[in-house]
Amino acid sequence: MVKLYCLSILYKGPTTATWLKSAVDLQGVSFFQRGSVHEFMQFCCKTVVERTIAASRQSVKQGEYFCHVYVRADNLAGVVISDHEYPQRVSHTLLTKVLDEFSEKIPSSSWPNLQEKDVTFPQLTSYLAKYQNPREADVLTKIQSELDETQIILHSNIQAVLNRGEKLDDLVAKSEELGIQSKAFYTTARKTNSCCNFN
Amino acid sequence: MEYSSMSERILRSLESIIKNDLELEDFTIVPTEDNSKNKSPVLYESHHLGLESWCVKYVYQYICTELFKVRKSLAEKKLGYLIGENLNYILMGGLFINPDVNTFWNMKRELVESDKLGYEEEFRFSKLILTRKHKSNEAFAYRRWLLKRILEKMSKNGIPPSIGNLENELAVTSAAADGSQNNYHAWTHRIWCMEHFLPYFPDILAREMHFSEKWINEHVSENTGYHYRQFLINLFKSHRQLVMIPRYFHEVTKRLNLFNDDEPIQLLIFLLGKPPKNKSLEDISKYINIMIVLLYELLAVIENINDMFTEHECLWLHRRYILYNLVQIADEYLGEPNNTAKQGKNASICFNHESQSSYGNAVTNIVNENCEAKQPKIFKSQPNKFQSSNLYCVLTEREKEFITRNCAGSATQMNLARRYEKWLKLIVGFDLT
Repeated sequence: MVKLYCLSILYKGPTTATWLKSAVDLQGVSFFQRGSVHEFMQFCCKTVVERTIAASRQSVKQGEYFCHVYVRADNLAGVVISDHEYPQRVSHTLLTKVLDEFSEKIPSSSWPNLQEKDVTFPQLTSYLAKYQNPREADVLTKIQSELDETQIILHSNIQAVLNRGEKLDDLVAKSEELGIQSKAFYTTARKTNSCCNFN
Repeated sequence: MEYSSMSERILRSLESIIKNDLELEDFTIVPTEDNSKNKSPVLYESHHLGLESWCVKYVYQYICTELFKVRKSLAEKKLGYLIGENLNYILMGGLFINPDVNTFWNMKRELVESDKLGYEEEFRFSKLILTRKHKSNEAFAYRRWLLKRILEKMSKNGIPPSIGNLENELAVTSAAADGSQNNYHAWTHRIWCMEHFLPYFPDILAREMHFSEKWINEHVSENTGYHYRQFLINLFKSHRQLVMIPRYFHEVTKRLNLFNDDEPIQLLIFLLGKPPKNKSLEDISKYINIMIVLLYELLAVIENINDMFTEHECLWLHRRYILYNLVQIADEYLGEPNNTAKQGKNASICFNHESQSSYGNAVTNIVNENCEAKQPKIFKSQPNKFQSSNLYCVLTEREKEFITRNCAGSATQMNLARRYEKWLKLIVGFDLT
């Protein structure tokens, strides 16, 4: 399915990354699991941003999902989580556009100490909705191949992004952001990856 | 049993929610570590139903012991009236937890047969199962079983079936197909419904064409969607009375830069020449229909998807299917059964046995050689009616342009384009130079 699940803006500090704003679309997820999936997506955004060096782009393919990251030279970072059919080029165009607009609205000096609840940037939600259809989005931005010169590094799974010796399972187990329920969700979801099964 | 009273309570509360809330949207089992909060595992909030996973093993054990106690007597219809009435809530619980158990579905069938369960309620229930497990073949089979009973009953009384039944099925299958990737069970069910209901509601086909176009645009790499679309296109071939979709016709004339957009027959004459005398009017309108549908697919649908989403092999395979059918329809129209195109994979579709046997050897030889080396010369030596038609000119031009355009893309896309080119040259016998 051509779909965007999550669009977030983070600030990459010297040791950890902090969320500045995020928008999610979890229509397809069952009602009682939306909370867990949301938490988990945020966790992924943070994990990936922390492992991307400044002034670079990465795209990580994990199963049926794609995670696109762009960290600017001034440490402002954007993440898009989409499915594998959504065109990569459009995702990265979206990131550039959203980060530009964000830095115009909110002064860069305040980024390190901002908290998510204090940030007013409602455009993010409308961008997430508008870009669900990449065709319309492309007409809107009129950017065909105007991506900057930054090379996009492509990874075939999330393990390739992690530092040497790290494992996703361990990171999940150690994480303080994930509640007990989200951790239980992670362990069961790993077992039942239904897209590849006949049943 | 230790947990029987708890299980009983859980099953009863699930039952009462399902009975009372007719707008229940979905059911799910929510993973939890254990029962730490000491409260009911049944979650119910704004028309969503959930069950916490810690209780599953106790409840399921209870369900199995209860159900297998009565399994035999139910099958032999010796079950007491009261027990029969009181079986459904346990069956529902069992199927919520494990929808793969055919025995439980069969017990439900037995209850339906003895009029203890109503159709409406069973459609609702199996729909709920499909919101948790989108690929449950058993649930789809159960729905088909119910539908068959309804259809039989109606045809006995001479009443046509209601469109509501069909629409309900279409909604259920599209939700299930959206829920899980590659959900062939859902599409098979949709095809079954179309086959059984289309004779009563021929207008539904145009709507389905529209639906499936939208669907493949949103799921560009899923073969299931293309497969269903090909099924619909095949319907145009076999049903003669189906009405042409005007929007397709206008789009095709626009894309071909033709201005005679008032008479569809003109398009056919332009592309393939005047109809042979032995064809009836009905036949000709069938050719017009199928030509327009195929050309619309080639010139509009595939183009639109390819502009936005590249590197998906299914789209190329779909193009092969369309082109192959165009050639075949053209041959049939021109009355030329011995065309090169029949050497394709689907060679068995439509031509008579005699021509097959006399050319049989040549065909197999060519196919074998195709795997090894290029042998296109054999086709070139025998130009036929199709190759001197306008359709052939249009198609070769379009294909050449399409391939060149896609070769400029990424390495994967170029590879796909080259493979397609090779197929066109060697199997279909197009001259692309």
